[in-house]
Parts: sequence; structure tokens; C-alpha cells
Amino acid sequence: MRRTALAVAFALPLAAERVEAGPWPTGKGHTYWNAAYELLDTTELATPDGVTQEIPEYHLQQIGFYGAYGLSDGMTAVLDRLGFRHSSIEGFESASGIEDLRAGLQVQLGRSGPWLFAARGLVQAPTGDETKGLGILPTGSGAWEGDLRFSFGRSSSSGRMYGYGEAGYQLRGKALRDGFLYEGQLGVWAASRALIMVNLRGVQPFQSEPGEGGLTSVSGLGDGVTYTVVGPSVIFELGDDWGIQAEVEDAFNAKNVATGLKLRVKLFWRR
Amino acid sequence: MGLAEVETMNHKAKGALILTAICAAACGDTPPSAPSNPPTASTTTTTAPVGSTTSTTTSTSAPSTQVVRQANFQSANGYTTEGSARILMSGGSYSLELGSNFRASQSPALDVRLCNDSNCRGASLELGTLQRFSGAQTYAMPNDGSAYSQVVIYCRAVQLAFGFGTLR
Repeated sequence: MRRTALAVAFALPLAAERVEAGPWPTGKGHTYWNAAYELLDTTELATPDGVTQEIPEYHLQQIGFYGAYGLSDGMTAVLDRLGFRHSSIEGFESASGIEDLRAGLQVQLGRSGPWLFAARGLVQAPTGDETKGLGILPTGSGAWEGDLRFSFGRSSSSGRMYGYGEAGYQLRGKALRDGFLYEGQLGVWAASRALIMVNLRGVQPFQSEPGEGGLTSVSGLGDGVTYTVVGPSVIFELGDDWGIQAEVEDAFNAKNVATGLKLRVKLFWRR
Repeated sequence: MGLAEVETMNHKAKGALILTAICAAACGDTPPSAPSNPPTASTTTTTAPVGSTTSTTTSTSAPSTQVVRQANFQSANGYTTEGSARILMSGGSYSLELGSNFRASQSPALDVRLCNDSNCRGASLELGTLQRFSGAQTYAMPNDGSAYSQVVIYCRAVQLAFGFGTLR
């Protein structure tokens, strides 16, 4: 029993340093950062009726930064997204620019046995430009947004596995429809410096009818965006405090967004 | 007042009326009830705003406007397009009019096109960028559009129809 408790205590910080979400705190004075490159090349658009239609090639590249800093053992400041995106549609337009900025706080809600609970609130400032590419290729939604999520998670007694789940409310400004957010991840150490994960996340608007003024777009920033994405990730620790993460994801149950295999590579650093 | 005086005043009044009439005629002040060359009256079918009924009225000088074909929109690919459209001919020129009941999904880069299928995959006649997402609006046409069977609200960015109507 004492051995199990020690293993859990050891496993929790291990998991916390390798995921961007979930209930694990960063720890007072500790920090985690990553820089991500994302790529999507597709000819598929999920239309508002949920049917996938063929479109001219849509190309999306993003560079984003994520950071977390432990203000205390129970509170973590989060820079959820500081990004730049370039997108284009063959034969139409291309557009580049800074994305919307997302930042907020995570607060630990407590622990029950091996289970950890937390809440995370984020505010999204409209630093992007919703008019880029005639509004078809925006770099931001053009609205103040925010979300509040509750998460729970635990590690296995040996520390070789962990998992978490999140659910929350996505509040969208202007006439964009609010939605239900969900996310989950399972991770297992495949080797001493290699972690394999399976991710699932998505958003589901609460209302089916579009609001007045809500724009339709392929970018995933418009009104009524719906999706569930799943995919594997793998982390290789290249040093004691840094490593590389690669993931691939695909979407289903999608509406109002271009879909296809999305590749993401991250370089992370922690202290 | 004696009878002789009354008759004298009547004569004076008649004389004044005659003088007034002569003067008016000389000055060209023709009374509106007496046109010299009235235009030929013609009965034409004029168009009421789309969404209301067509009425038959009498016009004196405006060129006649005829409804050539009309269509009711259906939504496509999950996007909303509703209302009516009609091709009008007036004075030998053609135009496409979207009715006051027209409404479309709010998306950039929407065009109004005439096509031969609801997805606008083949040849098409582009009439211009959609001016507004709702309400009446008019688009000039280079010809009568008889080579096309559909009016389509088309997103040129993703090359998908947002709505279409069969012209009849």
C-alpha cells in the first residue's frame, strides 16, 4: 500500500510534464513550453449538413506556442496559444497572420485517491483577422471567446500509464454558437524515453441553427464548427528537460470545417 | 335692383368669361382636361416585387417589364438558401432579380450564377458577387440566359453550391 502510494506520487508529475491539458499542476516555479508546427493538406470540406464534399486543395500551416508556469502548487498560468497561420485554397486566395491569443489559469480542485481534479478557464482575445482571404481564410474568429473546462485524471500505480478526461463550455462571442468541449488522452511508456498516447477531442455546438451574422468557413474558426478528432502521439525524450512530440489526427462527425489528416510536431522544454 | 340691371350684369359676366378664355388660349394655358394630342394608352404586364403577386396595370410611357422565367431556391450542401428569383426583360435588356424573400447563408465569396445543374459543374454564366445575404437585389444579364436551366448561389472559394432554383 505504501509502495503504491509512493508510485502514484511519483507518476503524477511525470504525466504532468508531458501533456498540455489534464488535471496535473505544473508545480510552483516550474514551467513547460512547446513550439508546434501543424500541417493540413486536404480536398475535403465537412459542410453544415455533415457531408464531406470535395473542394479545391486547402493548405494550412500553423506555428504555435504553448506555455505553462506554476504560480503555486495549486495554480498554473497558461498561455494556451500564441500562433501564426498561413492558409490557401487552390485557385482562390492565400492568407497569413497572427492567430487569436488564448491565455488563462488552471486551478487544482483536489485529489481523491489516485484521481486528480482541476478547472481551467481560458480567454481568447481576437488578435487574429477574421477578414483575411475574403473571410474564407481568417486567422481569427473576430470575437472574444472563452472556455471553462473541468478535468480529471490519474496515473497507474506503476506510473507507466496515465489518462485524463476533460469537459467544458465554449463561450463564443458575436453570433457564433456556443459549444460543448471534450477531450481525453491515454498514455503509456513504451520505453524509458518514449511515450505513446492516444488523443481524442472535439466540440459540439449547442444549437443546430446558425446565428445571425455567423460566417461559414473552412478554417475551423467560423460558426457551427463541429468535430471529433482522434489520433496517436509519440514523445521521445531527447534530453532530461526537452524532447520532441509527433502526432497525427483525423476528424469525424465534422461540420463547417476542412477535414483530413493533420500532422503536428512539437519541440518541448520543461524545467 | 331692377330686372334691367340684372341683365346688364349677366352680359358683363359673359363678356368677362369670353375674354378670359381667349386670353388663356393665347397664353397656352390649356386646361388639363382638354389635351390636344393625348398619347395612345397601352395595357402592359408590369412586375410587382418578387414575393407579391403580378399585377396588370395601364402604363402611359414606362417600358414594359416582362417576367421571362422564375425559380424558387432550394438549399444545398447544408447551407441555407431560400426565396425566389426571376429573369426580367425590360426595354430589350435582361436582369435577374432576387426577391425580398431571398436569404442565404452568410459566407464570403458567394456568386450568383446561371448553370445547367444544381452543383454548377459545367458551363455557367456569372452574374456577379452576391450583394447581400438577404432581401431584394438585381443583377444585370448580358443575354436572356436561355442556355441555362438553374440559378445557383455558388461559393467560388470552395466551389460548392449553397442553393439553387430551377428556372421555369
